[in-house]
Amino acid sequence: MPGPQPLLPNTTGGGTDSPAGVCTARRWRWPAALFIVAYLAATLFVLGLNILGDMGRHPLTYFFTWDMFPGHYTESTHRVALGRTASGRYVQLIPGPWQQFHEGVHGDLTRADMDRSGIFFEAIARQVLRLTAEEFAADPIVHVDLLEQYWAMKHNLPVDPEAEPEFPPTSHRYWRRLKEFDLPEEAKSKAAAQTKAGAVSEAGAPSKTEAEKAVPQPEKTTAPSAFTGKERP
Amino acid sequence: MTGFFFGLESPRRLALVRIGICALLLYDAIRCWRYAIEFYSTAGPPVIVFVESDWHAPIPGPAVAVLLQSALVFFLGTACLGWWTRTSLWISAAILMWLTPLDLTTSFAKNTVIGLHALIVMGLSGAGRCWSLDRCLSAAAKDPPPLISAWPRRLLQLLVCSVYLGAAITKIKNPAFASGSLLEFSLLDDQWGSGPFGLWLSTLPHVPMLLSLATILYELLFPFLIWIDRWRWPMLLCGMIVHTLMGVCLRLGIFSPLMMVVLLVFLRDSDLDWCRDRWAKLFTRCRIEGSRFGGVCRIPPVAAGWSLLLYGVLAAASIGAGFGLQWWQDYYGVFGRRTMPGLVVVPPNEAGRMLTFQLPAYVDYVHRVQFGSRTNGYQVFGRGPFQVGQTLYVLVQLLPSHPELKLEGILIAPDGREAARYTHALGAGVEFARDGFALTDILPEGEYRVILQLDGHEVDRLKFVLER
Repeated sequence: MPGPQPLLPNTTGGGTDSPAGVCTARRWRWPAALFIVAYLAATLFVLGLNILGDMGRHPLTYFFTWDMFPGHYTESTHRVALGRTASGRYVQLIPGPWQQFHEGVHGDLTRADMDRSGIFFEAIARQVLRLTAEEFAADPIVHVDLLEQYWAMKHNLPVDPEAEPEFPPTSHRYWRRLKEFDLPEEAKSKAAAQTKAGAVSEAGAPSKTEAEKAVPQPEKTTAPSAFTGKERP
Repeated sequence: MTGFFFGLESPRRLALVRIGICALLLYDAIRCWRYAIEFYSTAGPPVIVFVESDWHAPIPGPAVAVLLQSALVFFLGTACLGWWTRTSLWISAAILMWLTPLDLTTSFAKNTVIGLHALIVMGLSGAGRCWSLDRCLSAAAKDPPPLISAWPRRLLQLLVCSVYLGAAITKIKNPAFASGSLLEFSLLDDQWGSGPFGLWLSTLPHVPMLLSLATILYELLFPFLIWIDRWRWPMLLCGMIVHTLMGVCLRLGIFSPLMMVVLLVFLRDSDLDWCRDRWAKLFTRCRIEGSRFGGVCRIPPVAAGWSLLLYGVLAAASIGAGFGLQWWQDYYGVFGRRTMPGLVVVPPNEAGRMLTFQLPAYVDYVHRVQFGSRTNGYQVFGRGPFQVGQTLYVLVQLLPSHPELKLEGILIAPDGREAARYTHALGAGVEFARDGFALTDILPEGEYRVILQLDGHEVDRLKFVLER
C-alpha cells in the first residue's frame, strides 16, 4: 500500500518523501496545529494591543511586542556614584573595578550609563557598597550621591575647524544629582565615632574636612532626573 | 491553509536559518561569557528586565552563572553544527530564557527575543535534518534529506511580518520618528550611534527624515508584498539594504545580521538550487574538486549511543573548561584568587566640581537652527539668495528638556540697525519653533544678520543676502 502523499509536490530540493517521515509528520499534525493556533493568537493579540497603545501588563506580552525605536534621548550622559566616608574622603563607587563591561562609541559606558532610565543606578551603587564593605570598615561610607554628567548631543559632533573658537572656552558638560542617600544608622554611628576619634587624635580640629569645605553642599532631593542647579554658566 | 502549514518541503532553508541564527547568538554568548558574573549573578548588580512585575528567574551565584554561560556557548555551538540539534536548541533556549532577562542593559533586547522565537520554533522542527553533523553521522547520510513539514518555516515567516508591522505601528504613532528627530538623535548618541559615519549622516539636512519615512514604508509594505511572486526578490533586497544601513549607522548588536538571516525563510528551494549551480560552476572553473554545495558528507556513520556519549563528554569538558578559565582568571575576585583593586579616591576639588550643579547654558537648549524661503512641517528649504517679496523662515529645534523660554529673532540690516524683531513664548518642552520675517521692498539689498536670543541671551547668529 503506498504511503500518504505530500501535500506539496517535492520540489528540486533533493528531499525524499519517505513514508516513515511523512507518517511522523502526520502523527504530530494536531499538536502542531494547536501550537500554531496558540502562537498566532498570541501574536495577533499583542499586535492588537500595540495598535491600541496598551503594552499589556504581563511580562509575556513583551515577548510578542515589536516596539523598536519607541523613544530617544537628546542628551548624552555619564553617571558617577560618589561616596563620602566618615572622615570626609570622597570615593568613586561607579565607575569602578566592578564595572568591567564597557560599551558605546568610545567604549566608556558602564551598565549604569546604559540603563538610561536610571532605575537601577541606586541598586548598582548599593551592590558596590556591599562588595566593598570590608575595604571601608575603618572609615565607612556614610553618604552616596548619584550624579550624572550631561551635555547636549550636538556636542558629540566633531568641532568645526572653521567655526569661531569660544572665548572663554566652555566645556558644555554639566553635573546634576539624580539622587542621594545616607547609609543605615549603624554605619553612621560607627562613622561618627570614627570621625570623633580621628578629629581628636589628629589635630583636635572640628570634624569638617577639607573636602567638605571645598564642596558646596546642595539641597537634598530624591526626585530622579531633577535639576538641582541654580546657576547657569 | 492546510497546504500552507503542513505541506512537505526540503529542510535546507530552515537549516540555513539554524546555522545563521545559532552562529550569531553564539557570537553574542561568547562576548558576554567574560562578563557573566557581572551580568547574571548575585555578585553583579541586578538589572532585571521585568522589575515592575518582579517576574524573573532566580538569580544564580557566580559559579552557576559562569557554568550556565559556558553551557550556552557549548550548546549554541552544537546547535549551529547540528549535533543533537533539537537537544542543543532546547537547552540553548532554556538558558537564554533564564539568563538574559537578568540583564536589561546588554543581554536582553529585541534581537534576543527574536532569537528565542527562532530557537523554540526550530527546536520543534527538523532543522537538523540537513547540513548538520546529525545528518553526517547517520547511516542515511548519502541519501537526500527527508522532507519536513512547512509550518516551522511558515511561523518564522509570520514572525518576520509581525515584527515589521509592530515596528511600523510604533513608529507611526511616534511623531519624533516621522520628523527624523528620533533617528537624528540616535545617530548622535554615544550609546546607539555608530561613530563618525552616523554623526556625518545626522548633519545632512532632511536625510534623517527621509530615511525614517523609507523605513516606515518598507516595514508597512513588506508583510504584504513579500507573498507576491513579483515582489518577493525586491522586498528581500530592500530588507537586506535596510538592515545593512541600520547595522552600519547604529549600534544595535546582532539585530541587523539576525534579521537578515531570518529573512532567508522567504527563499525558495529553487533559489538555493540556483545558488548551488552557480557555486558548482564557479568551482568547476577554478578546478577545485569536491566542493559541491550540499555535497555528501564523508564522515563514517556513528551509532547514536556513541554520539550521545561523546556529546555528553564534550559538553561536560567544555563547560568545565569554561568554568575553570573563569576561576583561574577570577575577573571579579569572587573565587578568592584575586583581590579587586580599591575604589578611586576623588580629590576634594574634583568632588567639589562634580557636586556643583548647573543648568545648561541657553545655547545648549538649541539643537539646530535652519533658515530658508520655503517651509513644510518641521523642514525648511531654499537657503538663498533671498529676493524681496519672499519670507525668511527660521526654524529652531530645541531640546525637550528646556523650561519656559522667550525666543527672540532680531533682523539686523546691512547698515547695522535693527530692521525687525519677532518674539515667541515657548512652553516647556516645545521642540520646534518656526518663525520668520517678511522680506518687503522697504528693506535695502545687502548682507543681513539674524540674531537669535533665548531669554535675552544670544544663542545663534545667521547671515543671508537679500537681492532685488
